[in-house]
Amino acid sequence: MRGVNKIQTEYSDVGILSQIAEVYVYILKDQETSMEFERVSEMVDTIDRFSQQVWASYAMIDLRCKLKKGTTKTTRLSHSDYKILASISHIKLILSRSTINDYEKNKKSIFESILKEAENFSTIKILSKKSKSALHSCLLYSSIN
Amino acid sequence: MKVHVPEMFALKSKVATHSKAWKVLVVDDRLSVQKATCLLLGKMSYAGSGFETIESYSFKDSKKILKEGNDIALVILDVHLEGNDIGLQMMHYIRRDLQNDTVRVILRTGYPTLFPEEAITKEYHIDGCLFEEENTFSKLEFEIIGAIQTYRKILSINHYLEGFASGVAIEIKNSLNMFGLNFSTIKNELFEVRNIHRDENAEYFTELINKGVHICKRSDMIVDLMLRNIRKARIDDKCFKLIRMSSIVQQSIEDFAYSSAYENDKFELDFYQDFTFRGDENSFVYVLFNLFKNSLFYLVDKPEGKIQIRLELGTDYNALYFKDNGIGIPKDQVNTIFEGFRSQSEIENTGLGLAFCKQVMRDFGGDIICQSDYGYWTQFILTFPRCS
Repeated sequence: MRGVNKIQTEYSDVGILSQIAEVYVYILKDQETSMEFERVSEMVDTIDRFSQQVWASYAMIDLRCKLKKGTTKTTRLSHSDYKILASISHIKLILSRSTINDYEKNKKSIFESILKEAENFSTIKILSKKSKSALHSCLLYSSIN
Repeated sequence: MKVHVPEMFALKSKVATHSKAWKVLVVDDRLSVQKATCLLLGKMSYAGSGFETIESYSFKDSKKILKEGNDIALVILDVHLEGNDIGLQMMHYIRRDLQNDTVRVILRTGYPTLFPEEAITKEYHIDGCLFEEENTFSKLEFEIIGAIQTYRKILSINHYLEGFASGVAIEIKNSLNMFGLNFSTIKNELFEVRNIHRDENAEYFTELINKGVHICKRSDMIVDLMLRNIRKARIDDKCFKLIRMSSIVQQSIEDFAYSSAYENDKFELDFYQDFTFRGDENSFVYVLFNLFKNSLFYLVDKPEGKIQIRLELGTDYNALYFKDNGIGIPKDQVNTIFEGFRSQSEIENTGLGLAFCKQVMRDFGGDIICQSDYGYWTQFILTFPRCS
């Protein structure tokens, strides 16, 4: 664990998670535009790429500090936080196998899933307070509407 | 000579086919995972059949679904569902409690925990792992098809074994029937034609013939039980009756086919706390025969070898303790010996016996567990619900 503490300042996960939060906020705020198939796919893909960056950063720290594979991941994320962060890839899969017609049919349910993901995402412990409150206010707005 | 062939023995000429959809149970508490998997499975097919997804969001629901549905082909299990060791509990439930060796399992994992994935994969016959961070449809599809292929092979092998066993059973039943008829002919010849009623050996001959007839009937029933074992059929509790434990143990010791004359001297019986239980006599005799066979196999070269059978009354359950001072069972194998096709001596046994014993005891409402000190002793504890 000494190794992890030593390079603590190098953690880039909080920054990346804030970027993910921004994308979620964008989806939730501008539902009219972001409900378009291509737009949703693009944004979900962006979130997935950011989460891949988080995994990659953890793997790099493990390598640099000669830690057992997965050590940084378990230090930074609880297993429920890990599952939340990994979950967006499933929505990406759904979208990747959908045609525009499929999407139009299941639009509501897909958006509900994204909303649920955003809600779960806001509970990740290492997410900055600023991102959390931005997400919470958008989630509140979405639930009212 | 024609032998009545019950329906259960009838050979099926058709090769195992699977006309229904392959059932896949997805155990995951995330809606997105359920939807993505359902979407993929909805577009997949294998060997002419589509896929049916069963969603489960909790351990409790999954247990219920698995208990009720014995035709589930595959379980995709999130190892981190509810808690760190839920995957382990789930695998234990499938392979040990339900004794379901047929259903295939793919683990969804990725977070390093105390969950010993490598050990579990070997121990519980896991078919594959899906890592959350490497989540693609092609990977998922590849793992699912691989697991279903294995499931289909298992179904075919089971089907073949059933057919083969049915064929062998018919031949054995035929022979037993002929033995039985020959005993009747001998009895008739001795007592009706030659009229040896007053002969000094008449009683001895009668006893021998009756014993022969009894063994033929018993063997015939055991063949039926072995077939039921292979088919994993449950015992109908309508045929249960009250059985006195001391009598059935004593009778089984007398009836068992020993490989040498002195073997039945190895038994030490303590029937002080005798009891009755509700069950099927022949099934229980087969359970005892299995225990005898296993113990005597390891006591063959041990002149001081002993088998102690002790009965004990309990509050809710009565128990039969069956202990031998054979070679014992290694610690890592004690928990797995009741699984199908597990045997210490691969050459001598198929390993089906103890799995069947477990099933019989569960059908009686009781259980069988094993304790052992490797190198010294093995003890089986058979529990029976108390009869009012």
